[in-house]
Amino acid sequence: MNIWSKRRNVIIGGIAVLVAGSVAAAALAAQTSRPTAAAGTRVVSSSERAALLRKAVRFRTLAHELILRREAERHGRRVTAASAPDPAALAAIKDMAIEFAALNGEPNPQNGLVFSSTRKFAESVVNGDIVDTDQPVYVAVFHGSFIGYMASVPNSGQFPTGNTMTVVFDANSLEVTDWGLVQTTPDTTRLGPATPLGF
Amino acid sequence: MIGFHLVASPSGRSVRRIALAAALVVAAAVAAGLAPAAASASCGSDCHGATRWDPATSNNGEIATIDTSSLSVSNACTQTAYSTSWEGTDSAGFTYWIEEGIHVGVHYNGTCGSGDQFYWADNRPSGGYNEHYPGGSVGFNTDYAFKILYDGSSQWEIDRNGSNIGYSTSNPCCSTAMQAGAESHQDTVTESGEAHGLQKYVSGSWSYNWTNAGVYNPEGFFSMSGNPVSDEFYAH
Repeated sequence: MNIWSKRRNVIIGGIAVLVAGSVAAAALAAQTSRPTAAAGTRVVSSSERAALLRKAVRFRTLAHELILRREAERHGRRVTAASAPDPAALAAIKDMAIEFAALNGEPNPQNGLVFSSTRKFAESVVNGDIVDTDQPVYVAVFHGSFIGYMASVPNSGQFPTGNTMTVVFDANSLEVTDWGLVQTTPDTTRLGPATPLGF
Repeated sequence: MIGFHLVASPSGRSVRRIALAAALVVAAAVAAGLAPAAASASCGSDCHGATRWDPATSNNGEIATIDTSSLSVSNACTQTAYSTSWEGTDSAGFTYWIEEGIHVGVHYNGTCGSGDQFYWADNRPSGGYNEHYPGGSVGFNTDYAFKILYDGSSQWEIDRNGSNIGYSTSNPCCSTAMQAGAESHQDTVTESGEAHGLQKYVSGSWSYNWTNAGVYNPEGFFSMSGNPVSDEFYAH
């Protein structure tokens, strides 16, 4: 076989490999970029979703540090109902609200407010459900374009959507006791004065 | 990485080697990339392995006793999975619903991986989706009877092992769909359990068996066995 035949064979083989690689790459891209929202809703790509998850982790870490610091500073002092959130609680709630938003498809939540209340009353105001405990809580309400990726649904992939999220935090531990995703902002006037979350 | 090694050999042999290598690459690409529906059984962003009765006989309640053997995710900071019972709360299947069960994954107090917790949730007309965490310690290999029952006046009670844990309000009667089993939001999950003791509340009385229930495993992600009418096992 002369040199030109060898070169031709190399070129043919190289083209075959490039084609095969392109086919494989296209197939892989098709798998990983599958939209994850139900029909008719905003679509979040896999890369956007990955960025949102990284943001959620970042803000959770910040919140966790604030919560630990707050626990150390409080020396076991208990929060009473209707008292405004202390600065550490406010900062942690803000970070967790951003985390919540990111986990549910919204990179930039807006118009966040927090209220002080008790759990049963807060739930009766924001969604009407009746819950089992009634401790002092903080209620965060914020807005955006949310896809409820953290929701449990009976039909695969049909996540709820909404423009308002509500999150209820135990005022002492700052653990979330309830959260919701709705299309219509609840009337929060009965919850009393609001403190801005700073976004 | 595929390389080329041209051997100083009699004519044609190097051509055949190159062609064979290229053919193997193409075949591998086909196997890995072009048959995802059949070969990968990926959960995607949401998947289920459950017994499901939809459409069910019109009913005012359901009980599913769920024994969860395992429930864990690889990254509890960003992932979730559930061992759950769902009850549709309108006459159109699962447009609206109530659910209760066990949840693992993201715990919203700045921590990750704090273990499993009980939860219940509803999705209601004009009420949106709401999730609640009633407390209690979750045990594996333990039966939990999850009951959802209509009390009247668009209110449903949610009970666990005979104790009330909450009420879903402004949620219409009645149900024509029920489901119990596993849900995951990602591939990296370990989950197994059994949904048994399946009951429905029809015309004022309880009776066993979800009469025409079948397996709901649309992604093929879970292994299912048993009898979906009475006793269904799920695992991944």
